[in-house]
Amino acid sequence: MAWRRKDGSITQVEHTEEFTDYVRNDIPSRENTDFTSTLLAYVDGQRSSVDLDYYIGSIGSNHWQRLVINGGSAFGLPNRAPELGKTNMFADIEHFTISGDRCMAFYDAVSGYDESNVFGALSYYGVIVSDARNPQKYGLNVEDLAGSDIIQAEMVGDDIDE
Amino acid sequence: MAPIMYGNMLGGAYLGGPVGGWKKLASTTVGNTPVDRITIDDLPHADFLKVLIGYVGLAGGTIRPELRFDETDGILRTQTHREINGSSVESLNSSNADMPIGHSAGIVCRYAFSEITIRNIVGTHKMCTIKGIYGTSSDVVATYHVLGGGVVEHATGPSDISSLEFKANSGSNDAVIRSGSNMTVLGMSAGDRHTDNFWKPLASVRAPNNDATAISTPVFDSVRYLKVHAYYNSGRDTLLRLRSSGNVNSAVTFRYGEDGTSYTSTGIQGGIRPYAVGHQDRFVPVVATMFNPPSDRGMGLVAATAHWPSTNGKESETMRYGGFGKHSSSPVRRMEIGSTTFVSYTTDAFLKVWGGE
Repeated sequence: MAWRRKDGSITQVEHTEEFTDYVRNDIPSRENTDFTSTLLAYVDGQRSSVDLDYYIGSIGSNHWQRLVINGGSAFGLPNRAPELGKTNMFADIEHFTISGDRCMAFYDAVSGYDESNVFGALSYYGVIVSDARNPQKYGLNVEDLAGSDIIQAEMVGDDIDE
Repeated sequence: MAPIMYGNMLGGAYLGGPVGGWKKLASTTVGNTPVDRITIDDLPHADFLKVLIGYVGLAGGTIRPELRFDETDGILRTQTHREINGSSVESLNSSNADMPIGHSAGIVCRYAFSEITIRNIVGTHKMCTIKGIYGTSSDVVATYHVLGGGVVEHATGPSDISSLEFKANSGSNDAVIRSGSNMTVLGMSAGDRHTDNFWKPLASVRAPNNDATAISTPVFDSVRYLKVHAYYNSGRDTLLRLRSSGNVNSAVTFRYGEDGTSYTSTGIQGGIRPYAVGHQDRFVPVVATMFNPPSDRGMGLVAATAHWPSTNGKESETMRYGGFGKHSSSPVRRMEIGSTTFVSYTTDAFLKVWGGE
């Protein structure tokens, strides 16, 4: 994972196994409706089962704050095709802060697969709304559910502070 | 292969600091002579591409919009999964396939707008997300929304995308892409540092007080594409109005929501209705991209969510996409959040508009 900050510095983290909790911390807790981001995520899973999750949360909690979509449960991008072959995933996420105390993200996503010339795509779209007050972090969680094949992760983002 | 996530400020120049957002790579606008396709060649590399296609056609004309990722002698095959007006559609082609980005069977279409985002990976599989809205005639509401995504495979081997071609494929009259139609390609790459983001700030306004009955932008410059973020908490039926200059224009709207229902309104109160009528909303965030042709129509791809209290306070409705504003003679130069009934907005409500040409 790498975050590119406003000053140009990059923090790089590499894992060799499963990825969890790729987090951009320190979202300003003050009112800041100018926090807007376009986020693009791509995963080549190399295997049949890969999750790509996008989170909004709060510092201080043990884990991510619960996210809400359509009254549903905790949520990430539902890009997962467990019965399929090689899985790729791609998501276009537009994220912004509303009223300084809630974050939300609209996403469009697609997962594609190719196995023995069976070629297909599934698409998803929706809205993520944080129910955290003053959300202070968001992040990407990439997880190879088969447990072994994702060996690198990179996440690049501009510093969103003013 | 590595998972990659790029994050960028939408309008870096707006805040005077960050750079690296969407940058225009190429753009083609149709002149007075109608054409059957819009082609952009020699695209510079970008890790991600965003393709904005604004279509102006004939009243009553039928199109089957397609996008070809590279003109090649090799074999392409494409797969998309789309929802057209909420119904799932799949399309599989095995050879020389152009990617359908709209209704494969054809759409009676006067105006259309598509937004396609592509992971331009140098490999056989290119992935993209697809959004589209289609208006049927000069004065009638849009009748189709397309949402989905797809994969394009170059059977001849890995290559970067270097050309894009939009085809209307009318089947009977190819020269249906008319004056004012445009295809613009934006790019974003890791490590790209620039100061000329495509989306430039046009207006950013808040409710002036806690009893404001509308949130209005000043008149802004006319640009071909608009990006909108809005938020309000009204508890009432609220519209995102589209207007030209300072004048109040009639408008026709369309909405396709979670409940699968369309809504039409006309008259001076017309605009995009971002959520279902009748819900008592806690708050409504809206994001929209719009095609704002220089002639007389504006088309918007809108995503919004409306929330209302429930036992756990978390219930919500997701509105998918849609909106079509008809204007009397000129493009959108003002926007306004307002209601057909009395509503007061609090000062945390805002409306922000970016534009790109």
